[in-house]
Amino acid sequence: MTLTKGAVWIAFGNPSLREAMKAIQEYQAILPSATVAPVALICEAMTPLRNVQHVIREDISWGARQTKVMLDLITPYDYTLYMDADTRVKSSAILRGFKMLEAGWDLIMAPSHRQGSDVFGHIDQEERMYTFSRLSNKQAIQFQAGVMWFSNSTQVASLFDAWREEWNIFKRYDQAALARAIDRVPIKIWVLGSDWNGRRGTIVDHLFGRAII
Amino acid sequence: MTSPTVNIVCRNFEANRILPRFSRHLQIFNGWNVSARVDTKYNINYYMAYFELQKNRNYQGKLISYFTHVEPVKKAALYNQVASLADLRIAMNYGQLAHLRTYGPSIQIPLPIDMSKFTLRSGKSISIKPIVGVSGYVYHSGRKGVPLLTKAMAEFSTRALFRASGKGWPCPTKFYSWGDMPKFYQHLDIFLCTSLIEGGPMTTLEALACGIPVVIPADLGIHPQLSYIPGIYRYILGNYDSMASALAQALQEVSKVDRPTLREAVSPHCVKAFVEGHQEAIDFYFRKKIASKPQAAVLDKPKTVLEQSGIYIVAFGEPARKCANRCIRACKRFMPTVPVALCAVLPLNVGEDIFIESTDMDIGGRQAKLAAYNLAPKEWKYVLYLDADTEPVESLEFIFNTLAKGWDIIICKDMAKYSVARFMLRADNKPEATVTWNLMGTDETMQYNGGLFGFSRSEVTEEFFRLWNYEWQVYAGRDQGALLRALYTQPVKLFLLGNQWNASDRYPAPVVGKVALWHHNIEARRWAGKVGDRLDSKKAWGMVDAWQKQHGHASPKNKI
Repeated sequence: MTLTKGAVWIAFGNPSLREAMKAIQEYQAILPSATVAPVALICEAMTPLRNVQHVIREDISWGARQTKVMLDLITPYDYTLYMDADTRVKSSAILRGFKMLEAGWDLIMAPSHRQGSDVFGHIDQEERMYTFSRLSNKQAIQFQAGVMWFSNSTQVASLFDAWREEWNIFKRYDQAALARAIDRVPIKIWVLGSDWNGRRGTIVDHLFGRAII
Repeated sequence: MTSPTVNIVCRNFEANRILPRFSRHLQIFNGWNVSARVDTKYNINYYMAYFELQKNRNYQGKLISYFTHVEPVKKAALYNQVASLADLRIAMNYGQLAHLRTYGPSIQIPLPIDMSKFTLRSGKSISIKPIVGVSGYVYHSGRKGVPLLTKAMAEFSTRALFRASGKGWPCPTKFYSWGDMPKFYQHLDIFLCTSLIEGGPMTTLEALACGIPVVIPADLGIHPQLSYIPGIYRYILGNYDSMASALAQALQEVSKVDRPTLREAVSPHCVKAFVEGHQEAIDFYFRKKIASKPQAAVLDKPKTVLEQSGIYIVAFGEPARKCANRCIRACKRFMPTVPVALCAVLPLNVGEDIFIESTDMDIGGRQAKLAAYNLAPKEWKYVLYLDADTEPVESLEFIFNTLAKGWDIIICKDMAKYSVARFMLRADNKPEATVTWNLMGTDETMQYNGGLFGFSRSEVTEEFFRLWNYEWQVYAGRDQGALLRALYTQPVKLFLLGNQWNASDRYPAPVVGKVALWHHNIEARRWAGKVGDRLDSKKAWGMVDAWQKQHGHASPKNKI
């Protein structure tokens, strides 16, 4: 059986769509010409982008987070690379993440730069406090969900089920909800460094906030 | 409590070959049964050689196997299969332990040389042409190294006579019955071993017991464990020039042999040590487990997480033992109901509940650390490993509770200085670092600090630990590269902790949040500086000796 692999972006609203289109074009340009690298864009309407599968749907949630926590159901691929609209791929090494899924890992991502006293620092106080009260580890690691690979395994489905439940409590940010979901659902997470998802990362440069300007 | 009953499986147990003789020693002195096939009436069956599996494939009970030596391809596959099936592996020589321990508990027991039978050669006179002897049965596999002997016979024909016992040798050969073998050695002036693969060989030890100087391959079988004394001439395995040089020296010095000293070199290997070593191993590894089975069946109250948990600590060398003293006391202070097992050469008696006796195999205690899955009591479903130089400053019960929620392994990310695999590169580990990065396809992946980790018992974690041990054996240096390679190969549900759970007092990196465990890095070391070689190498042990000569049992941390 051949498993499909592809990259997925989500873009709702003009700033987000503008950034996602740039991100997709840079992704397609950086990969070697012979590489088969399917791309899907989840958005409200068709765009001029070529060689991109458009998945049309509506999302009126804050920051289109409702779609993000449903990615396991919406993605057209067995192995998915999800990237925020404000990311820029800088190296074809990005494809290596699919190899990590093939090695048996369910979810691959990097930690956020917000750790320690700054953990969940960008999240509303109410949800932040709620999250601390819920996590078994009071000194939790925050993952950055703006770049992540995931497989179509049952473990991943369970994690997304939990993520959706947790996100529905506040219907705002996805990262604290993800931390609460991971705390509930043990899963095989391979953890990368910030070059894969960080400001000036050499593999993915994450231009944080650009998609909401 | 009585010892478990043992049946030795030896297909030709009545013969006068080496393994049947071993079997009969155990039969006579330990009262164990000997038979050609597995007998399930006994608590344990003991394959006197790994190939006994071939006729006993349906046996699923407790199993011990003896491992003489490994030969390539098909035999190696069988060897590994039995290694994976056995509950305890007994190696003929120290060199096999590194590999066998990747499958679980493995020990070496001295060889049974019958010192009353192999007695010193009498008389001092050496004939004009000294007699050089070889011994054994030459097989088609070529492992006896006959071409080396053929070349030596050509080169040394004017200076020595060559004689053999057994069969298949290119020089005059006579078959000696087992009873007459001492006579063979006692007529020799020099014993030569040309073998390429051996478990012992017993012949070297028998010759030495008779006070005969030996010319032997340095890295073969039991040879690395023999004393470095005049009369034991070592050469590079399979290398004719090296052998010829050693033989020439032996011939030159043949009249100066100190026979009692050569005999003394064999003294650790005697029948008494062999049979007692076996009985101790059976009692240590099996008596408790077999006796505890009926008790377990009586219990019907579900156990709490903590009742299924325990802490495993490793301490080899005085600095590590000092550290372990502090660590065990702290564990008992903050987690009084959680049992602590100490793996060491000797107990500390500072509060450890269980003592696991182990050989001091490498200067960093890594092999005992990576054997945590196999050595920690099997009734512990959730195991917390702590480096000896760690010190809990609050209860770590959270780790057991997290494992009980379904996580396979719990471990800390490394401190900022070593946050990703790119930072594993040091002056002495480029090959290992490169192999690790190539496997993962990146050097930008999180690095973990193995000073504290917890695991839940399962097939997945058992395989992970087997791989971690196996990967460590490749380079035998630090364990982090091996950890990454094992993890990448065997994905696990890994719960990631921050540095508060393993906070170093050596690197003043900011640790935000309340520290749960301090890591006093370096304090447990018994050497200083970069080893630049395997931690189980002679060079590594030499560094320990050098440090101890200068500084006694002080830790380098106190001297830097």
